[in-house]
Amino acid sequence: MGRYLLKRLSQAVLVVISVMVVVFVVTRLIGDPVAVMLPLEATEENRAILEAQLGLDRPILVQLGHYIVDAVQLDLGDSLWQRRPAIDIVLERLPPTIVLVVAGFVLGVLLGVVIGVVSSLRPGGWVDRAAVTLGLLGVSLPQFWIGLMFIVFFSVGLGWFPTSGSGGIEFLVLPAVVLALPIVGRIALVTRSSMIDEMNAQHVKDAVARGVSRTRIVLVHALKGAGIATLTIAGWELIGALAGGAVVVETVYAWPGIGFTAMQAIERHDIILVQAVVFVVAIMVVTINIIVDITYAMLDPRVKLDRAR
Amino acid sequence: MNRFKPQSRRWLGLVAVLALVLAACGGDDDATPTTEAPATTQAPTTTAAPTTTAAPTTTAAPEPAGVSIVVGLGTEPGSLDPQAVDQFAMFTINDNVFDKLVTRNAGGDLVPGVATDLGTPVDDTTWQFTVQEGISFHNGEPLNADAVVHSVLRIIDPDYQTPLKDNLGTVVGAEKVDDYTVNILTSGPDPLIPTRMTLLYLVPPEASQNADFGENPVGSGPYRFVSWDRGIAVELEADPNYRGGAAAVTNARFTFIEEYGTRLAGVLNDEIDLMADLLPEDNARVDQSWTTPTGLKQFIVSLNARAGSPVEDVRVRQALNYAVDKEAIAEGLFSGTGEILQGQMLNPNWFGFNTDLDPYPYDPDRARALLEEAGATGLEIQLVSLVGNSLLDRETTEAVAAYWAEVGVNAEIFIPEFSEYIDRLIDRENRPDAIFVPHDNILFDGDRTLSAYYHSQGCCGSMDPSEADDWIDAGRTEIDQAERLRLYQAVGQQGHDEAWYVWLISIPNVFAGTDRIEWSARADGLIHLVDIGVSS
Repeated sequence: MGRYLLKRLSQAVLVVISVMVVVFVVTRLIGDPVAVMLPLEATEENRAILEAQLGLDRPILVQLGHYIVDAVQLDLGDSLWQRRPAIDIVLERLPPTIVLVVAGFVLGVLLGVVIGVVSSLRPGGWVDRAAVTLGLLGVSLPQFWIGLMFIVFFSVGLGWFPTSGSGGIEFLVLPAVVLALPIVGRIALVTRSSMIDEMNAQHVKDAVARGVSRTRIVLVHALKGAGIATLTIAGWELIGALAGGAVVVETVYAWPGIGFTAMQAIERHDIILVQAVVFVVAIMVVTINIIVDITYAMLDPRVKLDRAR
Repeated sequence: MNRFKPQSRRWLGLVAVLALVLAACGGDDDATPTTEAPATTQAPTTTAAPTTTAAPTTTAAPEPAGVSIVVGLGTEPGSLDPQAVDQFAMFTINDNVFDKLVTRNAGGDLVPGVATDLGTPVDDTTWQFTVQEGISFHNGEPLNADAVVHSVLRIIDPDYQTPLKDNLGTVVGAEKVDDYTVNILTSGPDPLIPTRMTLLYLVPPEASQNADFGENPVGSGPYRFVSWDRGIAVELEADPNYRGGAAAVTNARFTFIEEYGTRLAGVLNDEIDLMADLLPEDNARVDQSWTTPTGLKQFIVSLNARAGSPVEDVRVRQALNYAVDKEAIAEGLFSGTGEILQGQMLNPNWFGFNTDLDPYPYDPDRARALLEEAGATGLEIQLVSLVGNSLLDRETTEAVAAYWAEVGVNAEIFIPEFSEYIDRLIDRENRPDAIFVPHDNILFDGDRTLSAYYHSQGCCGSMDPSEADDWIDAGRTEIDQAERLRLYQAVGQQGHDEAWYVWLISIPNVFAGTDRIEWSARADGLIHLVDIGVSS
């Protein structure tokens, strides 16, 4: 286990560094922050001065070198937009994102598993068909659109929730539900099909023959087997919610997390802040991956982490 | 901020729960919000809306006696240091918090701010201002000659990197004459000094040296800064001791909602009392809307009038003007909120506007005739433009190209990435045949616009040297305002006759609000909270 962890951690460091290099290059290809920061009519001379102040006039390899050396010491540079350390901004905005993603993820997985299990009990029945339809809707409707429709319907129409912002739990409901919808959809579909497989598996049939109660068969024998597939998807869903869904949902609901920050940074061509957001998200993503793999081993004794033996 | 302590505690609690969920991951300890501000006992109401049904969500704090409003802005400033960043959201908030020597009234005219008048030129390199006595900053520091000198020196200090320095132009220093009299020193005669002073916010000499001045600004205006919850909102409260008397709005919350649909929903749901940047097509959906009396952004197409260009013949450029129906663009694209430019880039309330000029009328037959006369029928040119920079910029460009096609000019629209657009706009060697430009000028003075666009050596002019260059150069140092006006009007006339541009429309700022707000939009597009009345 220890050796495995060490190996995974060193891989993780490599992944994060590669991501940082890619982001560094891409942000420098997609546009010049100086063009955005100055008025249209600024002279070439003024542009050159600002470029030098920001250190953007140095050769790109020199910039990259400085950048990686600083990043290792957790110095990601000063945000061009806010003129203060980018890492501070990201860490400030991280807690709201964690709250939102955890709320949406837990809601999505719980609902998804319940719907998946219930619909697998009678495949082809009306509950199953309704669940599959809803699941497909959750997966295919764009979150951006659903978010705005929820505001129109639940906030402006019914007045149940505020349209945007943050504060009490009432601000969390709509964004968490919107973030959860595609998770519910995919988890339900995957849980359903693996439950149907499991219910036909030999060990479950044996249990039925032994006279084990139906509830116990579904919730213990079948679900434990189906859990592996669900867990794989759940890991991906958590990463997807963190790295993708949060950007959309936080922007629609003005939720002050790192997704919203990423959007603000991109709009302002604040390449330093974009890099910092990606850096932190990349670290979280590789961490989640490692945790998911370890959890596999706990759930399924067939999965061996130390393959080298 | 400690004002939001209960909220931060909840974040902490939830983070702690997450830490358990993510069991093995110990690296998230840093994820707690940094508490940076000194504790204040200010009562928090973190609800976004002051509606009657919305109870404070976090604590049972007493409601402040007074009237609170919520203003929805589309962007968040990077800093609230009024000398640090060139961002409209910063100006919108800080114009309530800080004073200036000279300011503008709602109609856009220069009026004294904390100075007793609009300043006096003493000699070629000195303007003298007298500050009203008895004004102090919210932290008690006096607003006197020392504060003005400090404010000037701070912004022009080369080590203090600020894009706002350009607005001060020729200013090279400032010196105290007596406690309330100050000399602004320039490198040469500068008739724009009173205008430039409208963009110099006065900062307290002591507090502005704090490293966190951009997070905790201290001004002398009608409103005091209370708090800034990054990513969420800035809160201001009326200064009860303000020299101008009590304001109707006692507390204001500027919330930052970048997504337009969400901001609009906030207004429709009465959570937001006043929002900026309403799209013209949503005018009918809101209780009230207001439009700035004149446009703030000028949409024009620059034509390359230099020798050798495909549009070097003045008849061709005039034809390109006659070909475009500006009224239809204003009506069709901007629901009537766009204003037709009067055959010049300057707005009626900018200094230098020429009242004798008219727009080129929409006359496609005349355009065809002129093109034929110039032997330019079937002309092919490139029209450079941009997208997502200004309201409907791309759509306007497409409309122009369509009108040109009607008279037989084939314009290929080219929309590069923004920094490449800039490179082309300011390329002195190779001018684009035609380039769409959204131009604004917060100085409201012809000098900046004409120097950039009507001067053959300006950043963005596409003409050969002419007399206009001399007039613009002369105007820059002409202290006699009547003479300066005459020079600028002559420049405007020449530009009009030479058809250096296709002048399209001027786009105002549009605001939306709930029916409890009594207000009217200012010419400069800023929101002065003191002007807002609230009905119960």
